[in-house]
Amino acid sequence: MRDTDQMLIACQGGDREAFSGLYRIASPQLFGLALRILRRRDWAEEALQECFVTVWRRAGDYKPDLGPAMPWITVILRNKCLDRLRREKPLQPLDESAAAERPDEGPSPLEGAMANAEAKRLKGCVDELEGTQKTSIMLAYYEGLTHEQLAARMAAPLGTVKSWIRRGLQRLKKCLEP
Amino acid sequence: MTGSELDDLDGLAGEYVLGTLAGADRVQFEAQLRLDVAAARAVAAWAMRLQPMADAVAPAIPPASLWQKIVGEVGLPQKPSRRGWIALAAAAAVLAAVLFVGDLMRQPDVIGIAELAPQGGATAFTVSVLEDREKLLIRAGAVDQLQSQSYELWAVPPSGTPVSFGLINASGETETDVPQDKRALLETGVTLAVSLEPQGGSTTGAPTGPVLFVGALSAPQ
Repeated sequence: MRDTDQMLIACQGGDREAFSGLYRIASPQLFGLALRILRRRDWAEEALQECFVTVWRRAGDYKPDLGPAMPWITVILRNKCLDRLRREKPLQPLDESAAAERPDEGPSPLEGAMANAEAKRLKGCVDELEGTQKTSIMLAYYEGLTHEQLAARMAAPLGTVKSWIRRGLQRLKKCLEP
Repeated sequence: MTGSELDDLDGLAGEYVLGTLAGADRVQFEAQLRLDVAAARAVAAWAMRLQPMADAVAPAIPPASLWQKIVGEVGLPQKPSRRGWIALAAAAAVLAAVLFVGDLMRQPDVIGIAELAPQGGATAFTVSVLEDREKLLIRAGAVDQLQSQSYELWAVPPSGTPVSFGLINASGETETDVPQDKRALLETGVTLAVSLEPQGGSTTGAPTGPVLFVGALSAPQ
């Protein structure tokens, strides 16, 4: 049985079986992520559909020597989710009341993720960030918030939020370096 | 590229993957990505770094119809059944089975699965073979409710003589036990079919009404 990298490479050659196999293996994880970000089943279904259509059409853009298939596909999926969120709420700060509607879920998914070595390493590095860096990065990832929306949610100036994100990402990268 | 240009590129790549690069900046960066290997490399590295965040979310099974929509949109033709045409399929064309990986933590052990549909149509029934062929779980999808008729499930082995697996519900889920002597029929590749019968099912031991939905049984991998 081929792995996802090989299946995606086969898609480049128009291999429909490989595409079908890739969907079987990858769609549950991607759909779960879309549901988490979008909160609406209909939007998540659309995002997943758009993702795989793009995966098929743009399979040629995937360069196996740069990295594995799943992260490449995940970037596509998340971008479809973000496109949807921004269509509905174009880059404006969130209403405070809209923020209140979102139920408090407690810890982010990463908190519970001890599944493998990479997850533990990332979680360890995320935990070493400053509180505001960690919060802004988690909100950006799991809720798809823009800089402006983060500034509103965290009651901070735009420039400060941008710097939290940028510095937080730099620190993560450094922490994760072998 | 200078050191600080690389830092800028890496910063952009990180924000692109995180999702905070938006609007015109994102469009511009995406254009750069297609032409500039250094940008593509930086994005791939960030995608790998943050992948555990995606993996940490619980998976969820998308609806079976979604795959049909994808296939329709990219224009993939349907494959004919590996077993070819059978007499029983005169009223309905065979549609290739689509595998559907269940979340093992939420479902019993699925050892075989088939999606039964009319040609080009939405899945009408999904049949899962559970636990060493002792049970079938049939989930109704896009299917008409019946008044004074019944849907009956058949397996059609290579010999061509259909064997009944009983009546199935037109909505929700049906779970049925598979009698010992029928378990061997549920092998990978066997054709499953649903026919329209009088209320209570066929009395002849063979389908008496039209075969509406067909699919092939495949093993999860």
